Amino acid sequence: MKNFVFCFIVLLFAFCFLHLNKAIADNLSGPNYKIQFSNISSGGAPASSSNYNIYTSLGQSAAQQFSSTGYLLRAGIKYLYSIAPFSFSLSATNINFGTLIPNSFSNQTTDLTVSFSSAQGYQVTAMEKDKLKTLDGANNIPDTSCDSGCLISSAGTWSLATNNGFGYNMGNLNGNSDVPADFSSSSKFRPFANLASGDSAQIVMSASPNISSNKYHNSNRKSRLTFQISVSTTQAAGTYQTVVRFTAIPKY
Amino acid sequence: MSDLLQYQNINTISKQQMTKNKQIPNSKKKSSIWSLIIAYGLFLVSYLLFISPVFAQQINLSISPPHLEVVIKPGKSILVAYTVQNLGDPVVIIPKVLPFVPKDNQGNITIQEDFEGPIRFALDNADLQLDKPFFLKSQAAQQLLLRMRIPDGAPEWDYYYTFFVETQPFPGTEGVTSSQAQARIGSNILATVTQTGVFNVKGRVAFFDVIPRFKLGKNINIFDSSDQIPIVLILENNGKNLFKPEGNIVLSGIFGEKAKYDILPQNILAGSQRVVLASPSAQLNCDLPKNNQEVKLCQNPLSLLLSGFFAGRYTLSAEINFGDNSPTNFFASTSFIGLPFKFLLGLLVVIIAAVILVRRLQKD
Repeated sequence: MKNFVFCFIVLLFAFCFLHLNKAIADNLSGPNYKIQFSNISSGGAPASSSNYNIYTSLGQSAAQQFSSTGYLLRAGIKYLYSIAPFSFSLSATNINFGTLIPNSFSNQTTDLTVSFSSAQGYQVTAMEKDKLKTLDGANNIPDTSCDSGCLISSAGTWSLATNNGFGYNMGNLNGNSDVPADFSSSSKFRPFANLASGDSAQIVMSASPNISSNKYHNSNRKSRLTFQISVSTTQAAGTYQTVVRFTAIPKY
Repeated sequence: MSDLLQYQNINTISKQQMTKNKQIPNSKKKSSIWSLIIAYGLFLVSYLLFISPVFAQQINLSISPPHLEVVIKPGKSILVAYTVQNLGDPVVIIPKVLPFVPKDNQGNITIQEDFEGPIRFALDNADLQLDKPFFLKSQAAQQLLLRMRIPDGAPEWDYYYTFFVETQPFPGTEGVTSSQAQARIGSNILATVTQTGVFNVKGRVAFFDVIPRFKLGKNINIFDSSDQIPIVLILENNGKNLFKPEGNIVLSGIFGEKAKYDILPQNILAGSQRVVLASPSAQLNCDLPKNNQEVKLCQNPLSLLLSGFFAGRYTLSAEINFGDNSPTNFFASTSFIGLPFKFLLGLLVVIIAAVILVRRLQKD
């Protein structure tokens, strides 16, 4: 019995040490630090009577309702999450595929970078104005349907160049998780939403106000869009062109 | 003959002189090589220092302010100054205003392609107009004075627009299959039109629950004691005007312990739902989820994530006020049970191991 008790205690201690989790306190921060609001106010609250409403914020500059007879403009902690600019950049705008070789892939990339100061996050959508078409519109390169199917809203594997078409892949660049989850690898592609066909633009990058992500750096959130194209042996010769529109908007 | 001799002499002298000239001393040779090396070095350094790298044509735009909320009477107009800055290559841009509708419950939007609604927009800049292109050189900023005018008799409602600038795509290279990128960058305008200043707010709690690891029946949510508890709170706006909810989520344990988490005041637009956030929240690394449960959590928008050791039954209650004009508070509640599955499993393993060990020792 003594042996059993001795062994039990030793193993229990071993188990406890192995099972110990790292203690992490709840916090308001990400890797560098995150405060949901861009300004720490020392006070302030709405107040009202029968004739007026007033909103006050202490510890914040230029934050108030600006009003005159007939309008009221709201600015500050309570209304605007930030007055800092929202910015968006594309590293390349002219995506040349060169001379296309039938049944082989041609790839080009452009990097998307977003900086925002709003606690509400942002979204970037993409859509093509039409399929890749010759200037006279007589011929086009179809949008990809990948190896075994993909949609404008869900990516599929596209690794066989004999499955011809035009599509794109998205990848996170600086440790964010802002691109849609269906782009789980570099071989996952979607066709672009097509404005001429009446499709609605698809989100290709966004930072939801999702508290489960600790990657909440608000500046230089970067991703890479890879264009991929493959044409068939019967594709009519010609110069095919289209415009892809990227729209970057802060969330409300 | 003498002429010939003289010519030979002259020739000999000139050859000697040439040989003399060709015989440059070694020290001079070395110094000339060194000066060549230095010259090339200086050229290389200046080339590397002063030649800027060549990049592809790029777009880099910023807009400020990124968000605007306005409450306005019919028949009035206001002027808002936006600043658009070009930090990339020179571009031709077109300022536009289009309406948007909420796309989902996470604050995303869909911009409509056609203008609608009673609000009239125009630029007050003398030389610029909406929907007309203008040139913006590199590193330049342009102030755009946007005038919003509400006509008399405009219905009292909320109107949501995006003011944006879009670049004109560059012409494609002739003879080359290509795709040109066009960029739009925008700022949302949330306009509430009201004659009296009284808002029509009709909010409700559309969903308040945890995402359980196990579920017994319809209502019993079970977690392991060491699990993080994901909570989702979705609010719905059935009124005519947007609101910003205020309130908190309270966690209560069986021994009376309580923890309070504040709901962040986010906009819930008229006719939409939104997952609201509460703080402070624990965090997940969605880039490297550890197990299927974390993968599941990363795919869902969450309001709050609780971490700790949960043993027994816990109650979660939400108390929400739908903004300044909402007189009442709304309540919702849910519950979960935390059981130490992992700990018990570990204990069982320890007991079995101890029994086996003791038996072996006894045999020996």
